Amino acid sequence: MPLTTHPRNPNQTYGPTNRGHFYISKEDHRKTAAPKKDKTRWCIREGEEYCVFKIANEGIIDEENNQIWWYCEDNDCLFGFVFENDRLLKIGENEEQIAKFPNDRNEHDPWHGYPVSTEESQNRPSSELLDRLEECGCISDVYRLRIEKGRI
Amino acid sequence: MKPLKLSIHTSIPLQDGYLYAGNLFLVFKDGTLKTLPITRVLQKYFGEDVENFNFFNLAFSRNSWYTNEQADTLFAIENIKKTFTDNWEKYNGGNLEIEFSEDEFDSYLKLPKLPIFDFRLYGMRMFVGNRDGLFDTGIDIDPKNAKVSFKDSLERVFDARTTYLSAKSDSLLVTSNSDGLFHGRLVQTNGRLVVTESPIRKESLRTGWNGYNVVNYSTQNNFDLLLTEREQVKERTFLYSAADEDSKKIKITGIGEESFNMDEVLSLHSDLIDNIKYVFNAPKSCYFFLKNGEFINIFFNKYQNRNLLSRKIYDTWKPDSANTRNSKIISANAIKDGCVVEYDDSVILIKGHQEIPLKTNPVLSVRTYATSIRYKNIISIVDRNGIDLYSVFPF
Repeated sequence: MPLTTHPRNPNQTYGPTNRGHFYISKEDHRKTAAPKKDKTRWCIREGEEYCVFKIANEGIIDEENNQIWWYCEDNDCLFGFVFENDRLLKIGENEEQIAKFPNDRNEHDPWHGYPVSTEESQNRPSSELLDRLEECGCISDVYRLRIEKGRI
Repeated sequence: MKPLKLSIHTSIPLQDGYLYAGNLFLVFKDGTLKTLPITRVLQKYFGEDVENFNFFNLAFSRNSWYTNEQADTLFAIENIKKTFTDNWEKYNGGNLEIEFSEDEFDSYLKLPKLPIFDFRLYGMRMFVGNRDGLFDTGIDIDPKNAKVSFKDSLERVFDARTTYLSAKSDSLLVTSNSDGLFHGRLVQTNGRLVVTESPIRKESLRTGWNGYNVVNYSTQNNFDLLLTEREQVKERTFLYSAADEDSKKIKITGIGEESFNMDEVLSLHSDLIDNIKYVFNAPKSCYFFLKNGEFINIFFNKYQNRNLLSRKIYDTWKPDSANTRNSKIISANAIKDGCVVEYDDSVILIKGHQEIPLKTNPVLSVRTYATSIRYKNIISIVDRNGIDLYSVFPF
């Protein structure tokens, strides 16, 4: 799925996705934010951050026509990425290729997210989620292994 | 000079491969492991051409013989070295491609759940790590035909997710990411691996050996150097290939009671610390790839009373290619006089400040065999097309 940009709503949110969810870009993770040691930064534009979120939030339609989102139960979050031309796109300033959208919000609040390194287990999609993503061709075996080993 | 290359294609796609005791151990995507002697690969390609068979057999099976004392004397004779170099030049850069069908492999073993995160052969045993833990089996190799057989079933010996393995001196270091680093030991000949219940360190991404000491990487750009306690033993408690004549019989009895963190190791070069992009080690030194594109190689291999006696910058180099300077590093492995770096979408051999591209696509596995006796200069790379073996020019 290619990376595309999306317009911002008047209330600063993006969306909704076809699940009815909104996204808000957090200032300290933005490409234009000043570097902080504990805050990763996107290297893509705000409207493109939403694209990464939308891909993960809307997920895939399986053979039985169920919509399966990229939700990781182990870490209570969505993991997103852009897999295009057999490569994972770089989305973070520090060469991150995976984004995390934590589910730490009230039900009707917008989601937010940031790029992560998979070195730490809380920033790594579970093996079960990766099984599903690989089966449906959302990610290749090469990148799946790199994620499992915490190398990207 | 470019390395010699053998490309082996299989009808079922591969996930990983490992070279041990003259055999390729191959993990197939259908969940099986099969073996193939290197000599059979060469026989299939060269047929009756004994001269070239022998040349390649030496390059891929006893690469270490090029640099031992006898070879030093032999290659001091200019004509012999020239003939050897000319022959290498005839084949380097070319590609010897060989197809193997399913029924041409020897042994067969059903593996636990794929993907396999890592597997190692050591002490005539095979260790396989995946999401469910670490599995172990013994192997036998027939000295007449190099045929592998598995002595017992593949049994789970450790039940935490196992992502990286490295072995030396009767010890297997078992990396389990956020569950930590564990010490596995071969305590009895033909016995299963015994893994300690408590972790040596709480975080581990991968490990390496610095002589007989352990380097534990908690992230791609940070490590602890863990000192080991060891003793000389009369007999090894594990089996080894009859062709390997290493006479050192050292047993590791403890790991990490004493350690140095990276800041301590780099106390003489503290300006490097915030600039490290990726770090890994060879048996005697450590390579730092910096954010400004520089590569630095530092020796830190002498210790006494919690003091590092030697941490000398051995080499600093800024590569010409922007790709080598700037791309994301996925893994890096040492060879005898250099290293192999896996980038996001390429693999580069770096030797003597020279960059030699080996692959220009993302790959599944890159392995070198720096602690092996026979394969110090061999590289194996698995991708969707099969497995490529490279023998690095010895001079």
